[in-house]
Amino acid sequence: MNIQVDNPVLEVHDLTVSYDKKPVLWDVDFTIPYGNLVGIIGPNGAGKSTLIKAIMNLVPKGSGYVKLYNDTLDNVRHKVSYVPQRESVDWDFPTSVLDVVLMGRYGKSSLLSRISKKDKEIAYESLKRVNMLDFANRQISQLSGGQQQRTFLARALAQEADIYLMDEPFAGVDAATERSIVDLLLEMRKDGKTIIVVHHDLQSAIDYFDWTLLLNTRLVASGPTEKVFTTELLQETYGGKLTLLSKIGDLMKEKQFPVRENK
Amino acid sequence: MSDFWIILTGCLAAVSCGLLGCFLILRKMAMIGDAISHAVLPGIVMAFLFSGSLDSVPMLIGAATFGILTTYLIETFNKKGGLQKDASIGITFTWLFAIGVILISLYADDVHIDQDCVLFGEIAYVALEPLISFFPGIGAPNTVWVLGIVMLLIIAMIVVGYKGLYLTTFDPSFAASIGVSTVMWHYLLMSAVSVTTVVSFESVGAILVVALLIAPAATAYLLTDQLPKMLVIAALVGVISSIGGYYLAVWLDASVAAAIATVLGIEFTLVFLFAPQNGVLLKRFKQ
Amino acid sequence: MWLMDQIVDFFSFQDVNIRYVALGTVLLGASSALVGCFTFLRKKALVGDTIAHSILPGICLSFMIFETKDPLILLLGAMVSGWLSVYIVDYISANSKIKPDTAIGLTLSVFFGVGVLLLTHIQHSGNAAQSGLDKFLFGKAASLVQNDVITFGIVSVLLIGTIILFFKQFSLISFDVHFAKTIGLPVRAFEVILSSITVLAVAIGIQTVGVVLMAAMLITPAAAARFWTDKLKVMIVIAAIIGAISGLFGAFISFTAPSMPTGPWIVVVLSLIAIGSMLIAPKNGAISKIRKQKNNQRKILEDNIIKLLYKLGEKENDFFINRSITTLKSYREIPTNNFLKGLNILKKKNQVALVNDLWVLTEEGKTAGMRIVKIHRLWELYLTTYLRIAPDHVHEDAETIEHIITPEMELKLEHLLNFPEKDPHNVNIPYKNEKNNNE
Repeated sequence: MNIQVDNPVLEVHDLTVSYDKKPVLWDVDFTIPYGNLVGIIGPNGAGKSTLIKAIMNLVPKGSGYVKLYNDTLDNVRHKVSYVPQRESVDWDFPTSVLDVVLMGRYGKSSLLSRISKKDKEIAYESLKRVNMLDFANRQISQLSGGQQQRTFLARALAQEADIYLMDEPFAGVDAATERSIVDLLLEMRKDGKTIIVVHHDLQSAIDYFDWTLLLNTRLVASGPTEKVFTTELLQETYGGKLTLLSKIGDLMKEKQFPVRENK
Repeated sequence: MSDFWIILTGCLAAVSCGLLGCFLILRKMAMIGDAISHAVLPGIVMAFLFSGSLDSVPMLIGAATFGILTTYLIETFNKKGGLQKDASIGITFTWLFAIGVILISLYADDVHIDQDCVLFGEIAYVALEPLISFFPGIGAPNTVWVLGIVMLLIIAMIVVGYKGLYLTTFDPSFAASIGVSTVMWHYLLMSAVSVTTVVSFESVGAILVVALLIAPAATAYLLTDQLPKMLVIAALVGVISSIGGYYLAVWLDASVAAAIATVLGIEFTLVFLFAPQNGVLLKRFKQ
Repeated sequence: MWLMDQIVDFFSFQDVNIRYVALGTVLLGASSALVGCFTFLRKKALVGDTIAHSILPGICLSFMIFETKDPLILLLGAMVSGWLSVYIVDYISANSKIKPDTAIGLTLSVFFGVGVLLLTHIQHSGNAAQSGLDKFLFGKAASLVQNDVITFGIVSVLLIGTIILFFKQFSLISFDVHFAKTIGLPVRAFEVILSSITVLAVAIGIQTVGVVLMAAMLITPAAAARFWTDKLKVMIVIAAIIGAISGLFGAFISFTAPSMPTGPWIVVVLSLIAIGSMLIAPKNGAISKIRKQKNNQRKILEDNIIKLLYKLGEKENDFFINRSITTLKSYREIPTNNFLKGLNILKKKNQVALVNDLWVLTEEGKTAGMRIVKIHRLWELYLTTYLRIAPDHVHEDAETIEHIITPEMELKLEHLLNFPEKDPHNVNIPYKNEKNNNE
């Protein structure tokens, strides 16, 4: 089940990504429609984070291409917001919530320019939307997991993007915060934004997402959530790795074999 | 008057090193700073051999070149060579430092290598010091000028490049996602470290440079939660140690550089134990 | 030739001094390397650097307190401050937000600074007893005497003995500390022993190479050895040999050019061996990677040519038509010299023949070509079936994977897909015999 969309906001074509010469994503191919809240679901080690990173050009591609708004990432960066995993950052860093959120404005003007009044206004607005306005001057080392996540979210909002890619925004977050984040995402969707979320929990996935990608090293399915959440497809996703595929991956690593002939 | 010059050069070096050190420790690259400070040796020697003089400019160029080479080698050994990070650092700097020492013994015959040099094990620097060491009144303006200019450049770099340094230090993935070149900022920082360490050698010696890079920043890290304040405190800590260290050295009739390092250690220990929020003993009492 | 004479003189070991120097540096190189393997594996390679910088204050304090230059007393001081520095690094990282690398750099530079402070104080205090204190610390290898070698020997035996005795435990805590704890191993105690022998190795080793380069004696042989093997026992032996050879070479240099500093030469040799290992070591080396890639390119080229010939045969219904290279090139774009290279390799394998400047498939070639085509189509079917990829997206992947699938995997594929007749594009999948039998 891989439902294609005519005018996709994101197109991933034939994407293979290797880690240390072993493919961790095989020939992933899908299209995502505008204005949807999309979930990427799969077991641990399925390559979900890697997929997002490949879309953001943070890891090299062995094959395939990615198109956003029918264009390359470099041309549309101002429309794209990436929210990394929370643990990718050291929360002991001496900085305040406001300063982190202001980072979201850095892409809008030269790095050498000063922070403008408008930047600050937008930052405060974003903080208000995530209910963290009171924490603006709080040091990030004093934040709880949920507050950290909301800070990242505020930073993303400050980017004023149209498509958001979020890596595990609900990991280690309390239920109330999770609910409020989901509400915010739904609001954003109503404003016409596209939001793609790497998510770890099956149960909530059915409630949250309009569109779901089932991923386990390869794409198992892509389509409207209710169509994709069948027993058969879920079993395939969570049923363990494909042995032969894994063996071939190992062999490729051992022989240092390229992902595509002509590379 | 000579007291004043010695203390002043110490302070200038301390400020430059302290500021850069903040970014080094926040990037978890303290040991790369240590490595660079040793690996620039062959660069300095080669500059001396090629230019035939002890002018600052050729040495700075030699140092910057080897600083960049060190950074590059560490990255390459780690990423392309498959060598673990700590070993990449260790092998790179010991190898380059060894080459530097060999170069000195091969070509700088007129350099007087006495027991003191051997003692510190950092033969090279102490060997060079008689040549380039600071004689108050004779060389004073020169070294002070150089240190002063470098310090101002470092401050300018930090002020102008603050957003970039902050961004790439705190969240490299996010930086890359908005199209910022983390590689460029990395090399920029490491070049600044190379230049600063060499210039500081001239006045405070090798022993002290690593301490100046790391200790004030580490101390400031425990005292504040805000980066701008951390930078200022690091610079202050460095200045205090320069002053205190000088007088300690006078009292004990010992090496000034070593005394400054000792005072840095004392400051760090006090802060480590008693800092308002992070002090270990204070935390125990609160329980 | 002068150099030959030097080599002969040196290795005849006739000169007693040479014997001591050589023996000393070899023992040193080997025992540091052994100990270094464990710090390397625990990813604490820079501990050696820390300890090297940190023993100085201990030595000075020993001297000041006990007012003696007795090596044992000084060594005791060295051990105490060396050990203390390791403890402090751990303590700082565990009890504050200071990260490990910062803790290391901080500790080593401050300890060293304090050490130099004490040392210069001692030197300037005019205490007559202090002359030669430096000699204990940093005497050059060339001036090693019998007593020194005896000391090295004893220490080396001690180190090697400890490692042999506790090999299993050290291995365990180097690879999987958590597991070691869960099986009740007194991890802390063994970490202490390991730290202690590291400190000992450093305290002794500094005499030859000095403070800055000591780290190399521990790390570099281990790093080099790592590239050659995945087995710990083999690794430590290789490391010890590398350490010994480098030590010997250093002694040789110091013999031929007495004014040259020995330590740096040992380190240069060690480093070159390590970098060389990085490049040429069979499994993990960079050059072997390049070699593998060349092999891959060759296989890809051969396969593509034989496959082309087979498919042309399928199309024309005649597998044994002679064709010129120009004709072949019109079907598949490959640079002429590559094409010829590939064809010649295939000729050697008897898969093609050259008849009057025209190339033709042989029976063996037909079999080989058929196999590749079969694998390609099987794999396409696998991709569409198991990976649910659309049929028009599987060709490129199969173009690559067809080169790598082994006969075993081929069998597996056949079974998994149940000996299918058609690929996703409804083209026949060729089996060796006319019917659907596998080989």
